Amino acid sequence: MPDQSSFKIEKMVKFRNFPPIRFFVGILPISLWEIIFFMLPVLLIFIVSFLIVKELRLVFQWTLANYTDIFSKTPYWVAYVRSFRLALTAVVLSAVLAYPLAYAIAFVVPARFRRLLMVAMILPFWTNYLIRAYSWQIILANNGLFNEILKVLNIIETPISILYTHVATEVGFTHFYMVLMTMLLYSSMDAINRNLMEAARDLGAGKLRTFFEIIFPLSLPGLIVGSIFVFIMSFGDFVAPSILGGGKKPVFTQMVVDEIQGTVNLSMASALAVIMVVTILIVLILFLRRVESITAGSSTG
Amino acid sequence: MTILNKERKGWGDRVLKFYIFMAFVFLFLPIAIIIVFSLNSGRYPSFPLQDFTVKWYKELMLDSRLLGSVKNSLIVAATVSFISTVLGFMGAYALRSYKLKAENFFLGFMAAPLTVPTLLLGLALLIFLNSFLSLQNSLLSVIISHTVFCAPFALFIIRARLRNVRISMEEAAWDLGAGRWQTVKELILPLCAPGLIAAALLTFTLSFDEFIIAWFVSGFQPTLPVKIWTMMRGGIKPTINAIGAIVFIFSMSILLIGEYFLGKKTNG
Repeated sequence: MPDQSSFKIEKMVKFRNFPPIRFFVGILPISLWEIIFFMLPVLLIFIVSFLIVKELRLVFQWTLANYTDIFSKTPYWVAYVRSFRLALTAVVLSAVLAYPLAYAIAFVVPARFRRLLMVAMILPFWTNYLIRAYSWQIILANNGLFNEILKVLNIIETPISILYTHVATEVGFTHFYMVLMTMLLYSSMDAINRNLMEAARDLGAGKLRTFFEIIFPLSLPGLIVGSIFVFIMSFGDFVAPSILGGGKKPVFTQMVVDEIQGTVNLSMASALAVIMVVTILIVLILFLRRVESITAGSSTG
Repeated sequence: MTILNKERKGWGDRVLKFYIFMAFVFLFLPIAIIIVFSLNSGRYPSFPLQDFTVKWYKELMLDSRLLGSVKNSLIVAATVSFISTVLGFMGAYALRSYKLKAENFFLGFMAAPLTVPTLLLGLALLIFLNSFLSLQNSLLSVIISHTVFCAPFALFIIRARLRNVRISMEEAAWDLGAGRWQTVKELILPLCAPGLIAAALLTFTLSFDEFIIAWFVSGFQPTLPVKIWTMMRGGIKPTINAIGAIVFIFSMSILLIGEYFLGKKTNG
């Protein structure tokens, strides 16, 4: 076995000494596409956020007005805090719901069904987000399935209004992001060496102890990466808050879209977008540090 | 002790299996609901259900604007899928044949468009394409924009596939006198064909279902999700259920075929 792998490495090294000109031919098209149509436009957002808009056109006149506007007007801050809280709630809800699901698929379901279940789970996740949100609108409406079931079960007499509140937004978020969380948790649980668990059992550790001392710590990276994704995506989501949450209590993304589609103030929209980017980057850095400390801790301990 | 353990295990397992079942009910509920109401004759999507009908589907076929948006979406998705798969393959193959020192940095750069919220990407591209390139809102804008996140996606899928193709095979081909292009054409492409097909299909559905960016940049040539959004704003229309059901089944079928190719074993 070791012979084979060292042989392979030697071959790889030899193989990889090819003239890099071919390498550039392959790598350049996709890199250029991303530099021109991704990096450049995103950088432009930063520049445009310091410009002004006159008669629906961008004018090259530097100003801080957009930012002072945002920081001085409370509606923006209320929307920001609302978005932040909704995103955090989405992280907690999807983690709580996804964890037992990922655990069950990784450790209870027989191996031959696991891939099948994961594929089945991705199916609804991958389909049109807009129509799924619309479907939740039907389910959560006053005369929708949810209220009908509660009525039949005699739990309520008058329907509870969920639709067009942020409870409905959370339902939409959870339905979408729970799958993402499950996939990431599952992949880190599936990677756990099952011999390790058997060894723990042989040494007399009960199910709970095996869980807390082996499975949970080793699933943490998946949990954290999942949380990052769920946070970023729900914080940046416009569809669920507007279709399910309604417009009475707008979230931050709705403010951005208002500036784009309503007042067509692209520089203001850009300033709001910059604040979103900064928020996402801060969250990313904070969480990733946590991942690093965990992986460092598990390798030394 | 062992008996007790086994009993507890059986009970816990049953609860967890039931939980899996409930989770799947939750996940598939919206899809089932749309399909049920698309076949229900009532104008409003509420219970109790009324007669079975296909009239909403027939009504769709008469809506020329809607059909136009379907055509737009198909054009965009097919083009995006083709460009993304080609760019993704070239990138993945290049990464494999030369050890890039900054490989992780490059992969991070490629992952960025996939993690940025589409709202930000949409705004950035709207400003860039409209105000700076003066490219008026059109399908071309949508194609360019969708490729931004579909091409890296294709790259990651194809890269994973190429890893299964042993480098010794490629060397053997050269030793036997095959040129680089011949090796790619006759060895690499056939061996990673499942990865290419999977990448093409998955990027197709990604583009076909994308709403926000298309909404910002498509202008007077709406794609299907943009059209559906306008329909939804216009109040309750049972035809939305019908088009929704079609889109669900269409996307899920393509995805299933894609997953089949993704899971296919290579003999390389």
